[in-house]
Amino acid sequence: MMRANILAAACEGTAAEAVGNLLSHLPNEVDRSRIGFVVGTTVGCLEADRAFDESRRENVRFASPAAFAKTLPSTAAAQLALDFRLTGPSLVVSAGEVSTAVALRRAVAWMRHMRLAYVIAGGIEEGTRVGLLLIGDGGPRIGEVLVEAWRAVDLAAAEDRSLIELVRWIEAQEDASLGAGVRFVR
Amino acid sequence: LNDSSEMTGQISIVAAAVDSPLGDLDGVWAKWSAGDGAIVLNGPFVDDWVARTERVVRAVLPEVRDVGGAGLVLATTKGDVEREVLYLRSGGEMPTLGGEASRLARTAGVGGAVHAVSTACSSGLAAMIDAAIAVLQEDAKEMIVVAGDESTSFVHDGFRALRATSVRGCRPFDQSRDGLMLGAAAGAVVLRAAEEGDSVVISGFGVSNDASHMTAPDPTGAGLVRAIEGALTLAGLPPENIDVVFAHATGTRYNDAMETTAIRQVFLQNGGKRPAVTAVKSLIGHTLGAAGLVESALAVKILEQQVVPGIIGLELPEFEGIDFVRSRREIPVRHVLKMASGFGGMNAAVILSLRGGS
Repeated sequence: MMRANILAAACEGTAAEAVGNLLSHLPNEVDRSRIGFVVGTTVGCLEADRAFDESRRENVRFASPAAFAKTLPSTAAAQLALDFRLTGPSLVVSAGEVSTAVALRRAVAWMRHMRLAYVIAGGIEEGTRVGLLLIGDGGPRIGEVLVEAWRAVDLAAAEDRSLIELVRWIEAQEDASLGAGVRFVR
Repeated sequence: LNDSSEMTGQISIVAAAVDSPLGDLDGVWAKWSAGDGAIVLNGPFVDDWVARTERVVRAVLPEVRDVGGAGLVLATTKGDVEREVLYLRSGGEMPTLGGEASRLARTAGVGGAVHAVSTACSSGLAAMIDAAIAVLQEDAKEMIVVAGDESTSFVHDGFRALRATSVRGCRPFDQSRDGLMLGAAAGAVVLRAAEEGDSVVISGFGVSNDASHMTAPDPTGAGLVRAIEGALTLAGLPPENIDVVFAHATGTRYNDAMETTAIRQVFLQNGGKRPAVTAVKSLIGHTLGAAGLVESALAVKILEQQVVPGIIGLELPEFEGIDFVRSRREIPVRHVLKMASGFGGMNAAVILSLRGGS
């Protein structure tokens, strides 16, 4: 079992709002190269893929470079790293209905082995749901991630059930008192 | 968490496989080390990504002791993008990266944790690092890492739209370089905790983000420097111990300039030993999410054979002070630094070492 403290949680309408919210909990002087960013996604960048595919079908000579630049599952993580000057490690994982649970588990492991002070971790689905936690080893202990191995899950699923569960849990918390923790145990 | 920030042991690469239009790992190595390959010029390959990725998994399976207990990580930028295009145009079942990882796990009979990693063109190295961490964490005793991307019209149209592809062929670090050429390959490695008799280990790794631009690398090389320095720190090695830098070297103006800036900053600032710098994309093309892993498999060959192949197509190096390998060298090699950078400023670096090669 892997444990890390949850310092804050957010699931506002956009990923940028959520990341901004989480970073507001940290002192300004925190070295941003020691903040990791680990997120799960199932669908990735389907709408960006659609936009680029439509542009090249209209006329391949005028296929949109701007649209193509967004056709990676890591686009959202990269944009957020750019917007918030997060120069630490970024990781994007995909595992169907447990993508977010896998991201949380990998986040704790990467924090330990990459010498990170904090990791922003959770799930981002294009245009639908965002659920992110700020986890770290320091500061007040206001929550705990308990992520156990998932077995017999649907890795091909287009819906991340663990993200739905995380968002539900975050929304049930009151401000800074995050309760006993997140538990993803099948 | 702070009590365990060092690598507590080394991770062995106990098997490696490559499947490409040039052949398997031995076939690619033979061409590269002999320097007889042609510079890559290609259109979209007629590619069967599903079959290619399954072949590399089957190739490494004999070295997995307990397949049922092993985990699997798939590295890819786009997965089965042709099938996704079909879905976008005609509907049906939507492919997912997790589903592709699951397919490979079924092929292998893997019973442990399975997921996909996608960090643009650093995916292959990021997945190897993630799998190494999984072994260090004792999440699994053995991890199979598979990497692959399709070379399809979707990808070719995109890179052409970005004006990133070459018309003359990939010529890394050359004054006349004019872009990348896309390649098609898949690779696989098996990782486990190092044991007596193992020859090649992952001795350090680092990952960073430029946070500079969505498609262009940071011209200062600062992000890549952080990844390299992270790898050196974990390995407990000073820069002068690196014998070979196996560069990402896409052949684009910006990537190659950024990489040489980073190499200078890490290795040349203090007048220390200059590592030999080599690259292979002029032979096999840019294999995108597979690149880091496929080229790591070739780095294993460098360590095992004590041979550093040259950079095919490099005639007039643009960057002074760098020891580019232009023809095959037989030199002692204990540590190879493999690095990769991708869209969104994603950098990764891995140090591969001969076991006991301090």
